[in-house]
Amino acid sequence: MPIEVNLIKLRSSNWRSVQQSVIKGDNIPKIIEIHEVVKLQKNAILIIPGVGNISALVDELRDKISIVQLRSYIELQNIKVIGICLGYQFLCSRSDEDKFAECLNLFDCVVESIFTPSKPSVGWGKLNVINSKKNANPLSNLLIDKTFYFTHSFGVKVSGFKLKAQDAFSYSPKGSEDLVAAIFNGNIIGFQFHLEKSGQHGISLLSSTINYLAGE
Amino acid sequence: MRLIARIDVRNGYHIKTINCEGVEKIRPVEESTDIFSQGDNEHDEILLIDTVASLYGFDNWLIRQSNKHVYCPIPLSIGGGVSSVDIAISTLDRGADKIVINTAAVRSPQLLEKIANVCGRQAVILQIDTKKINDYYKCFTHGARELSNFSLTDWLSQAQDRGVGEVHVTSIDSEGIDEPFPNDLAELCRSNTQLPLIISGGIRTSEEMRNYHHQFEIDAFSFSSITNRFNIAVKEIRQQLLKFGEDVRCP
Repeated sequence: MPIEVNLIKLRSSNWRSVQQSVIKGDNIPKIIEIHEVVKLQKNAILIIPGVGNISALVDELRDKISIVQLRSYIELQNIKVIGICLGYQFLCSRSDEDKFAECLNLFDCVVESIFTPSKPSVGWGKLNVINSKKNANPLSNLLIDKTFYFTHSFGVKVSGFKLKAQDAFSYSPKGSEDLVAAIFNGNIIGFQFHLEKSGQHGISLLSSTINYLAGE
Repeated sequence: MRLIARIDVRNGYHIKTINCEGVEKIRPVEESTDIFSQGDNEHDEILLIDTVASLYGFDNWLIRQSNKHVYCPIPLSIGGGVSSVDIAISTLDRGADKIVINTAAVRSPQLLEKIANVCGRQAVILQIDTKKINDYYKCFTHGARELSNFSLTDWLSQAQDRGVGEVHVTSIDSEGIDEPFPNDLAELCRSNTQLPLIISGGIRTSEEMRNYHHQFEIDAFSFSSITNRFNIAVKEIRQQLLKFGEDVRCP
């Protein structure tokens, strides 16, 4: 049965592409404005898309809602969150792209510049497991050794990754140390790559992630 | 390696080009974007350039699709007539993941940084159409029709500081004919920028791609003739590259 998923309409994102990939995965995207997040029902599923730089995304959110209030609501109402690319970085504790941009701190890790001087890492990357027992994650078969599309200048480095409690997956960009590609921390899930731009496989993973969260 | 479908567009049609000049219609653009984003011809990305938008001062193909959003399940880059931050934003809003800029950036290089600041540098591809004039590679604008004052090496070496995320270089002289992308051009490109580099115009075989990769560390290729003239599915190119031991995606 199709599942209703809330998708935040952010200027700093490609939310329309995410919307289409949710539909192609046979689920129902409900487009919501930023201020409507704090009206979501308990256990709702929320997608935070994102493209661009963290300052623009945080400024856009902060114009409508306090970041502290947003985090409290997510925790109190057990909102199930999927962050994609910049939306995933917003789930982390902070980003070196703008140290003053207030992030959600739902993942205890820091987003750092991949290269100095800055340039993007662009292309398709194959995922490896970091600290989940192989195949322990219910979506492992859709992640390990599968390729997804990445384009980002900032990311979470595996070498500085502290979280041990949850499942995480990495990839090896050309010319850089390994980066965290996906984090599963209870009902909070982040993907550095663009599921909505990773062909049929990305659409399937997004659909399966939504189904997984709906069953939690 | 990234295998990128190049779609040159004029008046809503994917066109065949020779030396960057349109010579015949292939099919409507929407049919090409469908073909190249699924099945045996699923590429890793699609790069679509409206070849006359800057020349005639038109909006690019995507913006001319009224307010419709075009969804492509793989990354879609759009070029042609991107002359302001507002046009860049409109192009991204309608479904592009990256914008491709040439003419307006040559006219006003600061535009690249302005767009990168708003849209992120990962969304900015600098398009360079080049050919040799008196032994030096020079940059051309307006769909490869107008010679600019920029030399290839000067323009390339500025790109990273100006907020560009990737560079797409087309060899005008080898585009659309049975000539390879020149080795000296590949070498110049690699030695003048550390940015991700896509080369186009004379990408003909998997073996040549392997050579550009190993000799010049170039791992992204945009092409049209392989699929549209020689009727070779991109799946076949992937299989050949895999046999060579290259790192390619298998959808």
